[in-house]
Amino acid sequence: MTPDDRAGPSPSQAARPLQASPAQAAAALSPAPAGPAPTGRRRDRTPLPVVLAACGVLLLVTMTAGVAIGSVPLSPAAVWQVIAGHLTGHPENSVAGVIVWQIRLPRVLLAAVVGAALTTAGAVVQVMVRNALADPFLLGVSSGASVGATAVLLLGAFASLGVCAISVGSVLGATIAMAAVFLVSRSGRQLAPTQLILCGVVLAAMFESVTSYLIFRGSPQATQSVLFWLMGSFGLASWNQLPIPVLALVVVMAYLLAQARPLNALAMGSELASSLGVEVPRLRRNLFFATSLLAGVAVAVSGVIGFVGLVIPHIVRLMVGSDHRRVLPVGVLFGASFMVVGDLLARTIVAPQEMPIGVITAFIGAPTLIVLIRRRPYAYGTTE
Amino acid sequence: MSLRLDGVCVDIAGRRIVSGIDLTVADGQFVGLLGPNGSGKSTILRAIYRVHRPCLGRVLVDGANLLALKPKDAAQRVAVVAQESVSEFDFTVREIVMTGRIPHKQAFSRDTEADHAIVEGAMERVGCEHLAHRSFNTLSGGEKQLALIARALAQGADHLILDEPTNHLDIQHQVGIMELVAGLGVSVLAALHDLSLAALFCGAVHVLAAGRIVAGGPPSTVITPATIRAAYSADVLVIEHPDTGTPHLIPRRIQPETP
Repeated sequence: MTPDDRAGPSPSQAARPLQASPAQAAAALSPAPAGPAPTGRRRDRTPLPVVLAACGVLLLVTMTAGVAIGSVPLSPAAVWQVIAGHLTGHPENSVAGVIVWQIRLPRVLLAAVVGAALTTAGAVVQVMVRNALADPFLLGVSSGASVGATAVLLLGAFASLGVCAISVGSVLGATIAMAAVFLVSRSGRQLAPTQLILCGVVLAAMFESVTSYLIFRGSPQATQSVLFWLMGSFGLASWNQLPIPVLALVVVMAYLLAQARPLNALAMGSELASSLGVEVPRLRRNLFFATSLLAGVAVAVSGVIGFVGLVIPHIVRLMVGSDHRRVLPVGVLFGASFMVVGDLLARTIVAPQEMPIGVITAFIGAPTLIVLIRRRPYAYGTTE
Repeated sequence: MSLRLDGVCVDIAGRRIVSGIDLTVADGQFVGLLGPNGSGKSTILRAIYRVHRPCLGRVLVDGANLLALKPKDAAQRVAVVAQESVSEFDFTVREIVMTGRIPHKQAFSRDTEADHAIVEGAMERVGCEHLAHRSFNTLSGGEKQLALIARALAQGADHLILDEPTNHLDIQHQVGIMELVAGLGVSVLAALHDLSLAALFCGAVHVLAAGRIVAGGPPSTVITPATIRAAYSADVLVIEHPDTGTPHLIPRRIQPETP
C-alpha cells in the first residue's frame, strides 16, 4: 500500500457525518457499560429542581427569620399573618404590622435582591475574565460609586435631590468608572480578559485614591457617614428602593439564562467558544454591561458590600458544578439567603447599634475563600 | 465535504503571520500541517475556526465561504480540538462533551433525548464513556484529548480541525489518538509536530516555514532530508518504515560524537 492510497477516502468512510446516530448510541448503551450508572445519566449531580427547591426553602426560612428577629421579636406566624393581610388587601394596623411591613420586610427583600445581584454579577465576571478570583467590583463600579457617594456626602453635590443624592452620585460615579475601564481594556474590537483585570485593578486604585483624598479633606462627622456607606448597609431600605434593582435583576437574569450555554463555552475557553459558533467579542461586551448594571444598582442602594460576589459563586459551583444553567438560578437563591443572614447578623450582633454589613460578609467570606483556595488548586493567569 | 484554503493571509497586530496559503482537504482525507514552532500552523487553523479573520483569501467549506456563514452554521460544519484546555472551572467530561451541541441549540431550549443520545454515542465511539462523570481537570493528557474529540464528534460536523493533538502524550496515546482520528471518516486537518507520525497516518502533508507553504503532497514525496533542512534547519536521516514504507525520521547529532 503506497501512501497515496490513503489520501482518498474509502467508499465506506466517505460522507459519514462526524456524529454517532442516536440509534447507534442506543445500541452501544444496551449491553450496560462497566460504569456505575447503567440507566441514570447524571449520578454525580443532584437534579436541578431538588437543589432549587432546597435553596428556595432556605431563602424563605432566612427571610422569615430576618423579618421576625429584631429589637421587637415576632413569631414567624405573626410575620406571615401581616404579609398575608397585605397581600389579600386587608392590612392590619398593629405595631407588629408596621414593623413588618414598613421596616423589616423592605429591608430583607432589598438584602435578598442585592445578594442575588452581586452573586450573579460575580459568577459572570469570573467567567468573562476567566479568573476565579475576580469579583463584580473589578469593573470599577464600586470604586467609581465610592467617589460619587463620597462627593455627595462630603461636598454636598446634588444636594437639591435630597435623599436620592447618594444614589444619583454613586450611579454617576459608577458609570464613569465603568466606561473608563471598558474603554481602556479594549484591545482592537475585543475585551481582553487579562487587560480587563489589570485595568480594573489599576483604575480602582486610582478612584479609591480620590475617595481617600475627599475623606482626608472632609469633616470628621461627615467622614463617619462616608465610611459607613463604603462598608455597605441596608439601614435606609424602603419599598421605593426595590423596583429598580428587581427590574435590573430580572432583565439581566433573563439574558444570562438565554446565554447559559455560550457562558459554559466561554468558561472553557474563548477560542473554544468561537469554534462552537459563539460570537465571543459581542458576548463579552454584553456581559460587561449586564454585570456592571447589576453591580451598579446594588452599590446604589446598599453601598459597597464586598466578598459576596467573590465567594458565593464558588460555593454554588462546589454545590452544583460549573454548568451555568444550574449556577445562575441556584446562585440567585443562595446569594439572596446569604445576604439576608448577613444583614440579620449586622443589625443584631451589636444591637441596638448596627454594624456595616461589609464587616460581616468579609469576616465570613475571607476564611471561606481561604479554605476554598487551599482545597482546590486554582490556576492564576491562565493562558487564553 | 471538503475544506479549501484559497490564498489565505492573516495579519496579527499589523504583522503578516501567514501568507498565500493554498491547501485542500478532500472528503474524508487526513491532511497534516507540519512546520517548525512559530511557522504559522496554529494561525492557519485559527483562521478556519474564526478566531482570526483572513485579511486576504478565502476559507471554503463545501464550496461555501466560511466567513459568510452564520457562526452557528459554520460550527455545525467545522469542529475543533484546540490546544487550550479547561483549568479554571470544574466541568465533568459529560458537560464538556455536551457543549458540542451548542451550535444546534436555541436559547432556553433543553437538552433533548436526542442530544443525550448523541453525547453518549460520541463518548462510546472514542471510548471515554467510563470518564463521563469525572472532572475534566483530573484527567490525564490522553483522557483529556479523548474527551475533546468526543465533544467534536457530538458537534456533528464533517470537518475536524486538530491543533497538535498528540502533544505531551505517551506513545500509546499518540498512536491511539491518531488511529481514532484517521478512522472517523471525516475530513481532517491537523497541525502535527511528529513528522514520522504524520507520515504514518496522513494522506497528504503541507510543510510551513515562516508563514508560507514550502512543500505539499503525499508524505513520501514531501518528507525528505532536503525539505526538512529547508523548513526546520535540521539535519535528519529519513528511512522507510518497515511496515508501511512511509518516511520515518531519524534525528542526528549536531556535534559528531567524540570517540
